[in-house]
Amino acid sequence: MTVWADGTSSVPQGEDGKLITCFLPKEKALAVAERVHQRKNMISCDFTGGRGSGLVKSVCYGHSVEVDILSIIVRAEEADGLFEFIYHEAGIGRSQGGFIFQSALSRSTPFALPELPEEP
Amino acid sequence: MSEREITILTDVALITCIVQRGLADKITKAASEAGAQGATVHFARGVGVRERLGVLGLAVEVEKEVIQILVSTDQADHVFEKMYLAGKLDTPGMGIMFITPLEKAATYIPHGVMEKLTHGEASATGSGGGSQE
Repeated sequence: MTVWADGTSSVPQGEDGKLITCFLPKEKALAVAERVHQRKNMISCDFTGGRGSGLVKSVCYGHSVEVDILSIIVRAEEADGLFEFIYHEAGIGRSQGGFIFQSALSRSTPFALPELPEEP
Repeated sequence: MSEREITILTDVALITCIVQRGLADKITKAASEAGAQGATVHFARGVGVRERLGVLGLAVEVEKEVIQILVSTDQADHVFEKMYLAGKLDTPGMGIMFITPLEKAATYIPHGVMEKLTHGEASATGSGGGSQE
């Protein structure tokens, strides 16, 4: 990273963002990501696979299940709306629906695609 | 509870622990015994201290397991300590762990638990927990 004499940086200063992370049942993240993609002002969205274990005996003790981990960076002012949107879209409020949480980012990079002309 | 309600949990922290592959189960077991209700683990690849430890960097596995555990802030230090000891993170190269404070979280809360929370809040006002939107 280059920092110039006037204190500016070659790395573009992003806006204060929020990171929303979800632990979802396997193969649910893609559908949610597609729905989120249709909303504007999302900065970044990606997901990966993992394993989860409910350690409460009544749910499943000692067994791991495959889960999707969905991470979305969004502008601060959009975060609460998107949090609620994902909660309902992903069915997190149902039993075994997963978990969603939000944390603040001290810095993030902007991720904006150029305006592309419509293909003929 | 209607379909469109969210119970927002506050005072929640995320414990993230990055260790060598194969150690996660032992650490999540310790976390559960310390009161954590669940854990999520995924694989990753690490670089850094490995190159400086062991013979040709072979002593430290490049394959990592990343453990993520959500706990209440009250429990966070206790669970963190138990995980640290179980993973022997005081040994150089064993791994790293950290706590991230969360603004809010949400999940399915069984009706019985929700009632207990509501009654608890009614009898003793204040002290963290959840809020409904």
